[in-house]
Amino acid sequence: MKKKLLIVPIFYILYSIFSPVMAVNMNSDSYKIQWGNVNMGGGRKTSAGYIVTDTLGQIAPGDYQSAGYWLRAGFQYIHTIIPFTFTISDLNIAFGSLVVGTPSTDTNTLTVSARGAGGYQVLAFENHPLKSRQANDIADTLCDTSLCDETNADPWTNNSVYGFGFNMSGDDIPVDFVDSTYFRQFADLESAESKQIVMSSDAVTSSSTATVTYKVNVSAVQEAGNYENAITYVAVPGY
Amino acid sequence: MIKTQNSKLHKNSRGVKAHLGSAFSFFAWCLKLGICLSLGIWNLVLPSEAQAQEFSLSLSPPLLEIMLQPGKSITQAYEVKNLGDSVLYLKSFISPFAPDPESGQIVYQSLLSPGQQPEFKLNNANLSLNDTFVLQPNESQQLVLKVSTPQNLPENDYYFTFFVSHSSPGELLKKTGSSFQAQIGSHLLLTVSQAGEFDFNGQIARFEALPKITDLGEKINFDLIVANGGQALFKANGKIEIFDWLGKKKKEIILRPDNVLVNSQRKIVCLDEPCSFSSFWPGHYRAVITVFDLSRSIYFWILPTKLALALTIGLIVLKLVLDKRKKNGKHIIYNDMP
Repeated sequence: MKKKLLIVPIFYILYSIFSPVMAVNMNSDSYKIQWGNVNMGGGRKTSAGYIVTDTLGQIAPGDYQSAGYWLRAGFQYIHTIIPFTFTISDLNIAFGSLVVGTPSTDTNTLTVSARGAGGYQVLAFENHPLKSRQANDIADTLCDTSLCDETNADPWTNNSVYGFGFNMSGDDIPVDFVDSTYFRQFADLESAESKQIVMSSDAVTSSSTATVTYKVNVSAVQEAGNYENAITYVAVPGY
Repeated sequence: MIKTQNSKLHKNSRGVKAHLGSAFSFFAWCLKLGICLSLGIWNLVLPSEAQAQEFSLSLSPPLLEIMLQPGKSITQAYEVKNLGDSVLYLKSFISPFAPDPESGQIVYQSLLSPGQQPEFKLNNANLSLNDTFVLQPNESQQLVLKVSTPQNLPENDYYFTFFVSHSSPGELLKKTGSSFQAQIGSHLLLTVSQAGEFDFNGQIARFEALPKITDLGEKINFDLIVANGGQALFKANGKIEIFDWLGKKKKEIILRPDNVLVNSQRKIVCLDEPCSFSSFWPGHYRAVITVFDLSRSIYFWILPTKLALALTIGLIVLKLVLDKRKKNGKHIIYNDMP
């Protein structure tokens, strides 16, 4: 009988020694918090001049100091840390042999999945206008009215207007792409132009797709040669 | 005998068949070989189209918020995955950014000198920032980023994007065209603070109902901009409450707790629904925005304007019709008079 009575305290002692340490690194499917101590309190501390803000428990300054850091991955209001995804359907386009006064076009698509982010942006820029090895340029188009640039689209339907530009259709594109005749220039890094926003949304999106149509038209005085450039698309989630 | 003769004939016919079959097989084999050779020569002679190379990459987590004391460091594992069907040549790098003061949009800047900003390195065994690494289709790579703060780093907010960039542009067909490079990023919002406390200086820069007068059942949209003039980012935790002219709460809309970065303002959206309100009850309404301890009220009207207009037009038409009938009635009386 005495032996049986000893089992309980022995078990308790063994459990206390070998039980797993309660994790101070908290994870859930919506966040991951790494901090030295967990201090779960209610509400948010404010004073006349200070505020300590967080959404799950709160950091008492003493506890923060003992660990020295506080970290959260993902978005507070999205219940799972979902990867941010960006796809470009084709990494190179070729216009073939160009015919004077006959525009050539080609397309690719951009797809963004931002299910784990509150919004996103896709920025674009070109390293320089289409340029040959002899350093001749096909200038970026000014469109029919000479009013389009890297931030404003305008119609480009006149085959006597030359240059290189792009049109967009689909999801989350700038509103100035009214229809398939509206074109913009790319922001030119060589001219120190700021990157341009080509897709953006404030909302969580499972899949947003836009089609980019690239157009080039050359005049009879354009020097012969192959003209190339590199266009960079930068996709970032919201913050 | 006949049997034997038949057998012989049979054997002979089988022999002939065998010879014919062999000849046919040989001919078929030659034909196949000829076709194969032709196809091979054809492909060698004619230029083949380069197959479309796709870029498809995922990066997780999409956002990292850090509060860190000077002289401390943390690590965060990022996962990069090649979702496409092409081999990708990638590299990772860090770019600092600041929010545009008016729009809150990201503006990238140059890296500062060491000691003036947090420091970054990859803790991967064989990989550093700006090193190229290869991802096969459907392959993942974990990048372990270490963030350190120099001991004398000023207490402030520092914002960065951790980028993974496709570093090898596609090959052109040696004709006129464009090649594409792709970058995908994840933001790091870092607050350096010894005590974990900071001055709060938030403002409701704008809170408007658009339009201020609307019809029954038509939407009123709320335009909300929150500004941050303090030392660290904060989240726009709050709500919009709508009350009718009797003071009864009609609706509560929760704000999406987006980050408002230092020295910037940001348009705030609502969580799970649009920031809007509509009602079929006319009256004078009040909307109250509460963000932290900040609060502001605005007023708007919901009026039966279309109904009133329809009734007015109807009454005018009715009056005209009645007036016309009266006139016609007098005519008849006059005509009937002797």
